[in-house]
Amino acid sequence: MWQYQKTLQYPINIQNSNPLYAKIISSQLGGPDGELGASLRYLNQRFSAPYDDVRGLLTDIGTEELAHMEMIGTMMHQLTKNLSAEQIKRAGFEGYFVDHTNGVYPSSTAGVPFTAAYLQSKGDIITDLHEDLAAEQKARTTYDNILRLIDDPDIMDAIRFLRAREIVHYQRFGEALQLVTDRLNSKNFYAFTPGVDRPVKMH
Amino acid sequence: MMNENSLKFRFMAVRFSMWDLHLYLDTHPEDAAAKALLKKYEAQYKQLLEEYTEKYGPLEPSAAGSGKSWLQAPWPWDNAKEAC
Repeated sequence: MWQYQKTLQYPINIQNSNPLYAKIISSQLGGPDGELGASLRYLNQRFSAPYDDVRGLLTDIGTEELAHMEMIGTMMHQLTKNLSAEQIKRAGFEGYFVDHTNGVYPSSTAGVPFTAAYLQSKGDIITDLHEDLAAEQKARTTYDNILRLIDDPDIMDAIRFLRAREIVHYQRFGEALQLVTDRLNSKNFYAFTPGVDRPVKMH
Repeated sequence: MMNENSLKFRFMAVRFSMWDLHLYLDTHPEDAAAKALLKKYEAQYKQLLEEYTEKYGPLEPSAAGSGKSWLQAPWPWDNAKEAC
């Protein structure tokens, strides 16, 4: 269950429309390392997570990613308001515009529609947490790449916030992996899969 | 006296501090200092939410806010009306 709060996680108020910038940031909505894939990854992985703290973390970070999706959607919306035909063609935005007008649609900057193939839910907590650590770093690199291409402080401010959150999530997932391995046989973490081969006692 | 945006930003900042502490407590559930700090922010949060809702309209569903005032309160993706 979720309940909506009618504000963004971090304020966004972009003054100048810019379809090229909309296309550049759109990968963090529906691209390979975007926020939609992140929220689906964690919110689905949590069902097979065998420990209370990891269940909590996957639920909470998956929830925060939904708020990040809303932030990217907001930026795309504000960057594609009142566009002229000339602006659209000059920015190379016609491919997006023809299919979606200025609707917010999850795809990568290259125009590839979102696919669940971007994420994995393996049912093995060590494997899933490694996927999550990698996902946070891939998203962080994507935000670094976006910051190299964008020169509007209204956008950069929000992108820097989102980039910092990837680093915090990476830190929390690292702690979760440590907590998981501390509960396993230190001579062989893979001797059995917790929650699959053996029931796990919750604290 | 805070205007609408500065009151909302104050609320968002306190809510974010609480959220980040909540995430931290997922992996450090026994940290008493973090829990105390979260409690301090929670008191501010309640007060700011009440003040904002009373002056400018609902930020979350409620019996008082549902319907017209919920629908009319600004949507998060709209540009702010006034500069902060």
